[in-house]
Amino acid sequence: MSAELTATVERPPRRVERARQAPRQYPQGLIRTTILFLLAAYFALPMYWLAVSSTKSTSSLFGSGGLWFSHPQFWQNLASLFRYDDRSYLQWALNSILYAGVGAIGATLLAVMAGYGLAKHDFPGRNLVFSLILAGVLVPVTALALPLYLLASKIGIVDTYWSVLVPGLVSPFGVYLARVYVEQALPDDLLDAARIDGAGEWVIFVRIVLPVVKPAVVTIFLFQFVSIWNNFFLPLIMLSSQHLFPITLGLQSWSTRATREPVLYSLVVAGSLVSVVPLVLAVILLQRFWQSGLTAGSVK
Amino acid sequence: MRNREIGARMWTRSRAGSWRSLLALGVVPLVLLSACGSSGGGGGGSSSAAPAKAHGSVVFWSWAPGMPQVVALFNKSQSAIHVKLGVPPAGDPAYLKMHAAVKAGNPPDLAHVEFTALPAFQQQAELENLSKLGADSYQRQYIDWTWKQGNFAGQTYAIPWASGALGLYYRADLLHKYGISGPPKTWAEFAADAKKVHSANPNAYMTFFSADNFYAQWWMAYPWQAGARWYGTSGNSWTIGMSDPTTSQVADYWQKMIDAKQVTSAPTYSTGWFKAIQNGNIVALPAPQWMSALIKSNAPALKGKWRVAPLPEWKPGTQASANYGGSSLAVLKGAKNPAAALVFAHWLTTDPAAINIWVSVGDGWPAATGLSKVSALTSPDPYYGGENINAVFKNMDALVDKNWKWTPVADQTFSTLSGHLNDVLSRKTTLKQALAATAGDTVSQLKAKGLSAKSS
Amino acid sequence: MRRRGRTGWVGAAFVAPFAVLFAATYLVPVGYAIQFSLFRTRSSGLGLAPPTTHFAWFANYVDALQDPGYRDSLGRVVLILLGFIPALIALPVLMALLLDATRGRLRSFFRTVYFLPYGVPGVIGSLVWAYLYTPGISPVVAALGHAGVHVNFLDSSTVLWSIVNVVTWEFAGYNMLIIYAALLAIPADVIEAARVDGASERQIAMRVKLPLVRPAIVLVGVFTAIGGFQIFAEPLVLRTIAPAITANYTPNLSAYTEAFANNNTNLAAAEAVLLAVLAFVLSFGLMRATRQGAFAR
Repeated sequence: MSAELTATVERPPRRVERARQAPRQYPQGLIRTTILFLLAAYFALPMYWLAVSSTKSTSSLFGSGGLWFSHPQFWQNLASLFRYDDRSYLQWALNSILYAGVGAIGATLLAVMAGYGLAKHDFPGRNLVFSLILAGVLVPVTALALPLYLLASKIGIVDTYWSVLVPGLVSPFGVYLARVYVEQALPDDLLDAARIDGAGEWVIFVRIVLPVVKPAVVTIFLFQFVSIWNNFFLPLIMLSSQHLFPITLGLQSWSTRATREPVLYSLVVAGSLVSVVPLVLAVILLQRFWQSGLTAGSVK
Repeated sequence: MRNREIGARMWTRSRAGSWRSLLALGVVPLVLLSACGSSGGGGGGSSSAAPAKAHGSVVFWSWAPGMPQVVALFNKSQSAIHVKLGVPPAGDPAYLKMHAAVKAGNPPDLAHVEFTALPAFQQQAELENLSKLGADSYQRQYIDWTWKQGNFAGQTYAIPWASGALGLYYRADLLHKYGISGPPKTWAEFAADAKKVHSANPNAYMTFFSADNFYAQWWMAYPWQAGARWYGTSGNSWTIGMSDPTTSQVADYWQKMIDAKQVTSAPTYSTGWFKAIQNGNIVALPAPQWMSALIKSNAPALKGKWRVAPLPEWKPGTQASANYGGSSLAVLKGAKNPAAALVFAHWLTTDPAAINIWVSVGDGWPAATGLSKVSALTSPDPYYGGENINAVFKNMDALVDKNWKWTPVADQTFSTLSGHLNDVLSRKTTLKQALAATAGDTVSQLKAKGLSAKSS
Repeated sequence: MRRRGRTGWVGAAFVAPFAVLFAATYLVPVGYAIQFSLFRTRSSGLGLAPPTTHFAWFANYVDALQDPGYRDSLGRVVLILLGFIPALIALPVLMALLLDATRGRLRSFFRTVYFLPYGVPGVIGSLVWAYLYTPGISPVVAALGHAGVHVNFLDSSTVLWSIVNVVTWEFAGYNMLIIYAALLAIPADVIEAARVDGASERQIAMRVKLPLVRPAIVLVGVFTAIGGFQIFAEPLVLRTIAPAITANYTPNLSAYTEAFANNNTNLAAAEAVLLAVLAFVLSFGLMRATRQGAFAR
């Protein structure tokens, strides 16, 4: 396609959150705050339910109101959670960390390299490659899962770590973000100066490019980490061996077995809480990276 | 006993529906190794020719509860054959993985396949012909109708494992409370009781009628019991009909209870369904023997309150039952060690010790005959008021019609029927119309696979 | 038109590792799925003889589009997308504007609470909401019942919106953050100028802020549209408590069912390809129609 698809940036993202003050007098203040609190209640309710319910036995889970504690036994649930089924849960947690951690690190590195290559270098086929990557952004990940399964099945890597790990290494949106960020944040002069000094291209990338685009690196890593951690369809169809499951698939499989082993109802709830805690912490502690990355992604 | 994960995977509810499978027991006094000891050549002995030569390793895929213990027991009991257990996801996804493994040329030797799914494997030519391995000599050790589930065009493709003839579970205490003297003997009494229960307590229901995939398969047992035959063959073509007078009579019967709101609609095996059982809102369940373990484990507080009676009759004196759930063991095409797989399949389905493990985790009624040595089947159960509920199921099992068969699209039929049942529950259609539509859809689904099919 | 030719193939070398994996996980699978979707496996008679596979052109696509169940699933995507407009676009815009007008600790508190569900996997969010939907167990249903509101979240007329609600809960905060980040990027003097001109806060929000964050809203719209095609885990999990969610309730679920339950893998491949194409066309069209975002010339 001949259309030149580029992302241009009118201005760098600005963090002016603290700088700008809303006026002190604000007539609709009460209504506004009420709405904000109601929304907060909506978003917090399921989390609150999860936290309360994770302390319950299966019979309390079914037999007591959902909004308050009843015979709390959180530590007992936690102990059973990690012991049940030969420590399956621990295995799943490690698998999730492996899939999401390795996948996100690899995807970030590849995306920043590609974004830099696309932003600062010209080479034959560059526009075509970028167009394809943009097209990749627009294809739903779940629509790809079945084709990936068919292919993986053909080459015999279904039900292996690779079948879930390798697709996680690819983040077209990461490339897009990286390219936009490199274009806006990395002056050509800096690269030229380095080249004049005789630095090799890889050295330039590691010493100059990576430090400059660090915020984008963190953002891409976070996006990909969450996206792999939360992915369910791909592991569902790729994996049949329990010891390869990530946490989402493991908890879902427990949930489907709870009929037979009712203690699993409470373990699934406790396991859900435990699995959510790390990501929730990441969301809270790293908010400014989300925000800055999102700004970069939406500039026109 | 350890509850291994594998176990309950068969109960997975999110799946399109299949694992009510129960598997299990088969008792038969003749112990596994008797088979191993038999002579080659197909002559003489009571067991087949193949087993004598069988040795080596067998890869076995099953999601059924208790399998790790059973496999361990087998491996310990002899040294010629070593079984390795693989645990696929339960039911339908397991089948896809089996289909895929066959196509990739790397299937397990032995696979757990439900009766309803066998025709689909057969249609894909993915099963080894066990008759050629001498399996037919085992036939008389199994209940006839279960054996026929794995028989296509006169050849044996699967060893039956377990089944699920329906009896009637009921809450003795609640029937008494609602002024009902005993379990209903006929469906007419059942309907009258449904009315009594619901008018005595608006939250309580005699039983349930839902619209999920599990229920679609479950409900099929009712017309089956009444004598309907939905699937048949005529020459080289499938004939599908769900509007025969018998089925319509059964449909009308349930329609009345649905219209009168005398049945609850909690989805089968959902949390809400178990809650309804726990709090007494479901008073009775026409259900198979394997349901006993489910009820027991999900409603421990109701110990001593449930009982089991024969399934109600349509006409007094014409006792019949029907089946809900059933599994077999099949040797997949391309298996590396079919002979040893067959030996293990025979052992698993007939050895009393293996069956005992199965019975304890509630996996189903054995397809094998001669169950006297299986203690778990003959001892009273305190949960069920100290009665031996298996005596009831033994009679029920003998009363299942022998000729019911499944099509290669059975699982699709369940989900199609489930979709139409939703419309029944939301009053958009009637049960009779839903069945007619399901029959039409089934014909299309068969044709979509290139098969010949017509309405009957 | 771009910079230095002398770097030549260096750029390609930087792109190559990604490009290779991209080809392996996007282009080749899609290509293979397309090829796969052009074949079909057929039996004959009662199905006792082995089936044969043959080239069938676009028969699987025709079958998929003629299947009322699959068409219904596409129709549901339309409904879901319609539901997403208020839930995942208008609501996040409102949330972002309200947040932008708030000061101090409350602001970061609300922002955090709204964004938190993004960190919760869809499967787990659905498991939790399943409890909150189930009559007899849910405190929400019980509370509504006490208030005289008897609602069944799981029957065939409501369950689609119950699914939309789960997705809203998961992603509204994420969408809000995109828009909020764009609001923060508006230079303070622009707002101040409007204020000096005597504009009310509401006018500033509608006339100044909204137009300036339009690109962010478009981005949100595109991602949301793609998301509408993706829905899978939510119906799969809720299906266990809501039979009204049929085996082919959404296009993804349908492809999954055809492949894994019905063994119509070729048909499933066709459905997956259709889904990818439809999602692409819609989101690309959206971008072009708004002439904004990454795809503007």
